[in-house]
Amino acid sequence: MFAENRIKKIKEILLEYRHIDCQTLSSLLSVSMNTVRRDLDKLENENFLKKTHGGAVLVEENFEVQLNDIEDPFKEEKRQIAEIAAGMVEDHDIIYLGQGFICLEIAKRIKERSALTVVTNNINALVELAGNSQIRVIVPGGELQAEGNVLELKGRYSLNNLKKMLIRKVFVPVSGVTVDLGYTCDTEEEVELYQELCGKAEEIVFLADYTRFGERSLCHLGPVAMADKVITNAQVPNTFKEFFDTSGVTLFTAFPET
Amino acid sequence: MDGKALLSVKRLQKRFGEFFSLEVDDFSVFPGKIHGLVGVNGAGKSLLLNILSGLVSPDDGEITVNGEPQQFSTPLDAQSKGIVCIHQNINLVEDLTVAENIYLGNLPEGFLGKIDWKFINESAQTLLDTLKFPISATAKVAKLNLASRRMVEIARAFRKEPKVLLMDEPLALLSISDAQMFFPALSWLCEHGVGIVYVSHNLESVIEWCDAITVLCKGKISNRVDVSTNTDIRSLVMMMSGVNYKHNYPKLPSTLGRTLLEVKGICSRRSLDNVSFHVRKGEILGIAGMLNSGRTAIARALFGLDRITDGQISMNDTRLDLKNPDDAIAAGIGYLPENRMDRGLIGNLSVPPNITITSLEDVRNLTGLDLRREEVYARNYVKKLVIDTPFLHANVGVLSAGNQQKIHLAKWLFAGCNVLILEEPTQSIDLASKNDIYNYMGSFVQSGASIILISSDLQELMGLSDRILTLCRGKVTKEFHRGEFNAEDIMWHATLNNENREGKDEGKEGTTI
Repeated sequence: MFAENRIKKIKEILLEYRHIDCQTLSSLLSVSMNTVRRDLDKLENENFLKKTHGGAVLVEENFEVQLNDIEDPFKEEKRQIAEIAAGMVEDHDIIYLGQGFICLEIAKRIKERSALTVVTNNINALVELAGNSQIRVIVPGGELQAEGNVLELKGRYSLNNLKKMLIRKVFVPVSGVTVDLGYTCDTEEEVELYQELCGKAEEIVFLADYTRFGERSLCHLGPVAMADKVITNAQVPNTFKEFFDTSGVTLFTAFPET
Repeated sequence: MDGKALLSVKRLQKRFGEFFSLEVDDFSVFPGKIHGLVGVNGAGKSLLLNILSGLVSPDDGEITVNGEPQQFSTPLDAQSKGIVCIHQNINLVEDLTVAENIYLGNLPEGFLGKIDWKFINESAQTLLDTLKFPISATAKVAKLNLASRRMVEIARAFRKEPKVLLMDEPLALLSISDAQMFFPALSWLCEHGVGIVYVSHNLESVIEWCDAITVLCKGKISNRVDVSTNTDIRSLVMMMSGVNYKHNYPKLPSTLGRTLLEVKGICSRRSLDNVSFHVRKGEILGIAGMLNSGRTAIARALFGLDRITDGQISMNDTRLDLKNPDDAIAAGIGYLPENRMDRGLIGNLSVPPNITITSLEDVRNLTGLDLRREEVYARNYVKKLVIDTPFLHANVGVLSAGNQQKIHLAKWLFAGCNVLILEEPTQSIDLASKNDIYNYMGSFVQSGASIILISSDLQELMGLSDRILTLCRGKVTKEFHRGEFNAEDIMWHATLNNENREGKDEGKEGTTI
């Protein structure tokens, strides 16, 4: 992992947990303790954290920093997931692309294709696809939500229009996956939308980078067997690889770049 | 039933390796009956025979002979109870005569401890005549062909006066006409009250000869069949394939490029007969075949382990002359053989040397090997293939089977191969590593490389291949494209092939591969 990425990951971890020890960081990032200490030195100089004996704590004034403000440290992992997802899209498919970075990356990878129908509320993704007249893009509509340069449409209008559509393959990101609960999302709105889509789709593909496994968010989407395919990274814990096989879900993984 | 059984096992259990266990709840052999035992490779047939003949001790369960519980710690224990096994490989001493082999280990002594050669030769000859085997007792075994050697083995087993005769693939590599000669001998044994267990991939002979058939699938008895006139091969084949067991295979729709490797009419000493096929970039070509069908012979020929006697192999339209594995590696061909610890990895070396061993040129410096560079490469692969090793310099022998297989894969990736021959890549590997290997296969072919997948696991073949070739007796019998895969048809073409039964060269030494 590049130093830059590592620093971002350390920032993210600290924003979430407020304090961390070197040992844990070293194993989380799979780098040596010395590397961790060097990175912590760097961040101490930026006044992001304060080193303690054997670890570091977040400097108080940073408590207000939002996770969104720092760049996503798992972009590379997400791009690899998008690469596999794009491989699943075939000619004449009718697909739904969900929100977020992975789906935007899928759009980038299928924009040269022909004879596709893409349904999406992900404005960044549809902008990518707009240049190709061979791809039919349908926007179910809704209320605009903008976070920085991430634009998407949300709300009831979407749901009502989607009820009329028969989509073949659904690609949506989920924010948490656990063995006992299955998939979880951040908002009730997403859950409602995805459940509607999944009810009629031929193939349901959930997307989540490996850090989402073992995590749970507020809203319950459905059990593990709800998906046909799940795409993640090979770093996902072995328990999930075994569990998915036995629950009839095909697990696709992307291998880390070195 | 129990009272009559010569040999019977109950609740037998044997764990073998990490992920295979044989569990046989009930299996009995009755006097005068031939009991067939069938299953695909790795189903546990040979293991069951080895337990019954005292070669392997079970973890649990009971073995009874004539109703009395027994514990065999050596094959001699089993033999003393009248259980004799003829193993898959021929075990004869070539430089001795037929009679000497028949009496080996038990030469009758006459006056003053002198060996009574006259008696031995005469009684051996009588025995051979009784069994209607046309062999001279005084001939040297080295001069005999394969079929005759099998006959000597049967005669030797019979000389031990068995009550139960276990036979593991006695007809492997024999032609049909040779195979037919064994049947009178078996029925003669049956008439004398011997119970026979007959293991074979030759399902025709199983149905023809056996009174009952037990089907093993993944270490468990999946079916018991009483042979009647309407027992057909197809249903047996279906039972063997265990298709009801559903797995999920991460397979992406493939985009196939131009032909990468082309094989035209190759023949080899290890029984390949005019085999032609091609593999395209981005393709996974599956090969289905039983043991000795020639599936390993294809891998060995492509990897330069066996010289081809006819035909040609070309890569990217350039003809290859593969004299040894070095030539194959240089041409970009990698081979993961079935038994990774015997033929692929070096157990008492650590991870880095195992990865770099085929391409030491890349880690060489002026004075020798650049161990730091080797370590960097190794660390990258450990990360890339999510290999779970306690530390980088752990001996490969102590790692789990799944991680060993990943290291084996890393070796070929480091060697930069673009055609990878995988033979039983996921046999006895945990589910998580299996998933990793399947996914890696996908990403490997997506980068424009090709894979030849040889597997006994039909589900795996159908789940991952773009095309499947069935192989039987050294010949390609059929090609299936993805979308038209059908377990029954594939098994059918891999197990039987009536046209190709006759005229197989006799006397060709059958090396078990």
